[in-house]
Amino acid sequence: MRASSDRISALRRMPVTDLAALLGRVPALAESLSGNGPLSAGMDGHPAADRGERSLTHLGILMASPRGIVSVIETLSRLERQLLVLAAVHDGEIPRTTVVGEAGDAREIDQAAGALASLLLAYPPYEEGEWLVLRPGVMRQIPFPGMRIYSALANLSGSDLDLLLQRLGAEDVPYRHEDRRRLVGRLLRRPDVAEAALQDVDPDAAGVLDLLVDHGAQRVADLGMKPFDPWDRRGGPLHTLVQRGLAGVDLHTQKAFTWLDLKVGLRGRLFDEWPLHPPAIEPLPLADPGAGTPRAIRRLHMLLDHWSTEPVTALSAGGIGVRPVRAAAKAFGIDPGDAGLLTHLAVDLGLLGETDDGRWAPTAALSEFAAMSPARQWAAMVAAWRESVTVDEKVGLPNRWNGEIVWPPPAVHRTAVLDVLRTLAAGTGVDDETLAALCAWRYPDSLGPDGAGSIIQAMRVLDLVPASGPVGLTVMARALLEGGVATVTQVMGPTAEQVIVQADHSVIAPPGLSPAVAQRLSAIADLQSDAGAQIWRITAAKVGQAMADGLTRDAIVDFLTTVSSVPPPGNVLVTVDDVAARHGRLRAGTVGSYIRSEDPADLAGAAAVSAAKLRVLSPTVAVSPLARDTLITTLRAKGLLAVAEDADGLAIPPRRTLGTPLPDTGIPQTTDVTPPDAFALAQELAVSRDPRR
Amino acid sequence: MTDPANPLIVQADMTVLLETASPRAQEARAALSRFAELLTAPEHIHTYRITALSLWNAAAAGLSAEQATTTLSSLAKFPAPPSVLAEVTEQIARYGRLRLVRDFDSGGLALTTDEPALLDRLTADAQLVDLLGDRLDGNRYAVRIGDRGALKRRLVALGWPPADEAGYEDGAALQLDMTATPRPYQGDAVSAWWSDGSAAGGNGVLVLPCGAGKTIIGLAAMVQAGTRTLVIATNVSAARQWIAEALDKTDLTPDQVGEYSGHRKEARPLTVATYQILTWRQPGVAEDADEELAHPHLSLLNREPWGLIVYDEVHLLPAPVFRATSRMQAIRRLGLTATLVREDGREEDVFSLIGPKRYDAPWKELEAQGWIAPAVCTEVRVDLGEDLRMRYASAPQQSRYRMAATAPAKLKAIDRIMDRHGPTGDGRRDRVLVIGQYLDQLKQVAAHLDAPLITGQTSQTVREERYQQFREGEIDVLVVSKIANFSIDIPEANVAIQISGAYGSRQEEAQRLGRILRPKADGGQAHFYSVVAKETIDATFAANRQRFLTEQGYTYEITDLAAF
Repeated sequence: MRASSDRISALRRMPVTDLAALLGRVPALAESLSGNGPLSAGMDGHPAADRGERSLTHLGILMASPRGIVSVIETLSRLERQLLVLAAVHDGEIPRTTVVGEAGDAREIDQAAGALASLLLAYPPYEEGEWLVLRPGVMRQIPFPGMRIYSALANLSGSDLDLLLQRLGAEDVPYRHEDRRRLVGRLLRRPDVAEAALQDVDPDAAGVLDLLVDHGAQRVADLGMKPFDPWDRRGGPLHTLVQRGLAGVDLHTQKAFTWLDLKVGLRGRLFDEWPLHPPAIEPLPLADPGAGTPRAIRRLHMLLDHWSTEPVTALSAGGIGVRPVRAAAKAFGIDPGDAGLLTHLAVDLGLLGETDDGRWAPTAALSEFAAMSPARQWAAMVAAWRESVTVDEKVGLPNRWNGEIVWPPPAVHRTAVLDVLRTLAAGTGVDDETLAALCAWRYPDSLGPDGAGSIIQAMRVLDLVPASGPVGLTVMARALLEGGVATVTQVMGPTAEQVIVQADHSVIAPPGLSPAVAQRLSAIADLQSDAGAQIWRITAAKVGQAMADGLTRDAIVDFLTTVSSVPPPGNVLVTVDDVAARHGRLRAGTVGSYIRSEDPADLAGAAAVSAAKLRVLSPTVAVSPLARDTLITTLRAKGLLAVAEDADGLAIPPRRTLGTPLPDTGIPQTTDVTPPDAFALAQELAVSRDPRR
Repeated sequence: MTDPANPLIVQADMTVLLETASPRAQEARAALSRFAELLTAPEHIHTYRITALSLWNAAAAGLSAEQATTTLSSLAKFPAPPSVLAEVTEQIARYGRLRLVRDFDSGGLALTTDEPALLDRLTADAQLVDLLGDRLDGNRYAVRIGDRGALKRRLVALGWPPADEAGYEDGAALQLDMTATPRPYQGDAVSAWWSDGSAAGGNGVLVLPCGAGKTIIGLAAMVQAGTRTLVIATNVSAARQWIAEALDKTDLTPDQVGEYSGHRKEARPLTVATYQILTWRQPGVAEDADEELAHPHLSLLNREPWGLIVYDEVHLLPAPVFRATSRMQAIRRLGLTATLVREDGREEDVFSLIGPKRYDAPWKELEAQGWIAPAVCTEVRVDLGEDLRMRYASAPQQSRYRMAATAPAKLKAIDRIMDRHGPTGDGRRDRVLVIGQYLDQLKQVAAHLDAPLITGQTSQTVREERYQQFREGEIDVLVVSKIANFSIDIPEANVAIQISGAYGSRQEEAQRLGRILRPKADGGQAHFYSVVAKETIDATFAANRQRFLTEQGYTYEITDLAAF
């Protein structure tokens, strides 16, 4: 029977509740039937499935396709996965006694077998004779934890295969090549045959074989041997094993391995452990700051604002290098990985692009993005992250951007972690290790602990989980994942536009501060606490920097007066006035890298800064061998607020440059990430059943 | 139930913001102060921090986790983060699971618990094991009496504070009574410290503004304890003020009160010693010599049967006294201060050795109630002058502060301020203190104003004379160095002019303001002027110095001399 016909028939016999459970468990199928999932039209050549073609037939075809099978396998728990692999190692069908011999007699293994059947990876127990029989097409997609002898012998000549069978004591040798390969595997899985094969080799070779069986593939060098050369006449333990068909060596990677079948034969089991339950969860309370504007938005805007005044010089290969990302991270007091992730998202959202002169700067799309509501901006960032193909959390968060595509697409890993987090009770979380263990149970080969760790870090950056402490979905994240942008907007409440400026220079902003206000505030104040409400502190240094970036004294005072719900205290305004009074009194130019000042005292003060390497030419003018920008930075570091000026002596306003977004980037059309209603879809499919078939 | 009109915002980082304009602010402040520490109290939003220590102290005082979490949940504008509620519950539940008790068999102490597994877990810590004796049984370890402080400190560091039920030594009895009535907040402060005489009380720090009557509180604590008391003050003048107050506000007689200082060595039922004499180092003693050999007067601490030790200006407590205090946990102790800001950052040591902060009265609150004088703070800015500006600009960094702080232009500012506060038509005269850091500058100012000068070099007799003259109105202006920062009671002073200070010391600024905060007989205002050189490091330090007071709700008017 064709793989698709087999599935279509099974689907037609399936009750609606089971169908709904199937679609709920494998969201990729439901999403693809809705036309926007990973199995949609054009991928893998399978037929397009759009809204007009939602039927059980299409679902069956989807589930029989290689990607469909892989999608289903990706949803298996560790126990189900192990059962599937064990059945596959036994050529696709396995009696219950064999499984019980390895995993023990437990109710959970029957449940796992039932799950494989309901996911159409296997037939219902005993329907095809054995307890567990895999459906057509499944064997090829199974991620084996090693190599089967069946695959290894694919290119072996018939006569060599006969020789091997003869050595293993085979009697009735079948005719077809693949049947003979299966027979080899079957023989190696027999303890008597495997043991005899082991006894038949010298002790050195037996030792190596034991090691490969117990610890999996090993580098030849790690075995204390010279690089493996099949034509080396001197031979050795590995040569013995290879010649007897008990091991293989990948000549390219110089890794030696033995067959899964032999492991079953020698050890009597394929897996060392058969965990029957997911890891125990000890729910921990979340340090969730609650509903409010996610800080990720503010950070993204800060980053883009930073690069609008100082566009990043592109690498010769065209990307954004480590240095500017690190410099930005340092400027904002965040981790370079966090800044790198935000950079990738900015590029993916089309907010950061290359300029004509080979630099990177914010694009015109930024204004469109900034005009969106905070809820929509955040949803767009989250969607961009979930779909990002340039961020590979398995190697950690990025600290540069080079546009390299990660393959296989890492989106599935992110979805896996989010799915696991959604199973936790609201307001609770788990520690990193437990989450990694849960992910390993739920998605065994999608994520190692390292991968889960970096995904957690990315989620912390995006405020999907709290910035520190146990990992669990924040109120905002749960709202986004379960209700979409509308629910986030509702939870976030109205955006706060007012703050309180106090005499101790602190500025208190309620949760839900408008990103626009936060961005303007960040220009003149340092953020001291962001654990719900925000506490900022206005400092002379920040005000000085803001003025250097083009803000005027009046603009700052105006902003404070407008945005504060109480009159700004006089001493705070004096701080601004003080900086304004000093700002720009020293002026530096590029011509000959000079500095000048109307006030000789100021110039003398500047000249005392040795790092500026200034030589005083007159009481009001000095020159330096340093470049203008370096000179200004040096003086500013010493508290002398020099500004750049043009040839006419006018202060040069800070530059703002626009970049062009990369192709295929932009704010996602759909930022809602809520999965389709599985039960409604199942009912729709059930209604569409064609009674004639 | 959360309500946007409620006064609290509970933050995930364990801080709590209190909106003072809310109708329920007073209720929230009262409830919150039981288990959270007030960090800052500027004009609109006060910040509190919930710490493990504050929760343990609250638990020791009988607060339940439910009461604390109900306060947070019911007075919050937004839902309190679950982690904060869980942490509050967890920390309060920890208190008392270990108990430090008397072991009557050995005559020493024992650390005991109902959970032997907890003892097993804690004894994995090597430092703790050093402080424990034999395991008496599954639930108890022996503890040496001298290790009581160190053990508590280590257990607190490990996150398992013991309930100290070993009690205190009562000391020799001393019958005394107050002859003056303490103010309500003074009574509250003493009650908070005493905790009904339970083992959970009898230690800790009371934080009140300068001029709020900390001496009275100390005397009331002595009355409460009814035992021989050692008071440790910052200097001889302060010690003598303590003695004068004790004779004035209690029924103690002069023969019951002694001074232990460089001048006299009297040990009486109430003895007032100075930090200097206790930390005086025997000349010629090796660096690594035994502490009691190096500091012979430290033995005063355990020479007499004290039942109470009062540490005045506890934020100045020197290291040797700290160490000695660690060994005397069986004696009740009380720390008094206006600012728990230690410039050396050792606030935690004060908490663990003297005890937790038991009471904290916001400055502005006492001002509103009329217990301290309302103060107007003004920063007057002067120009350096052309010549000095050039020298200042090219001067090395380390000499710039002195150059700016002692700018001659400050004399003009002093003159202008004196003009404003000179004799008035109705015969009323302001009493002015000019406070500074540098002796040359102070001498110059004293000569310029023709006013007496008190510095560290002035003899004790002359100091007392001049203070007395100032109190009695014989002189209106006194120029003083940093020796007048602490514990000098000159209630008549109503104007302070600060011309230079110890760099950016927040604590010094608060103490100096405190000199003029004693309530005035006519209810008049106090004026605090800080004269700074514009556009210099002096102005930068001034901004830093002002931070403590602005966090207490004071605002500074900043003006140029020309506009003054």
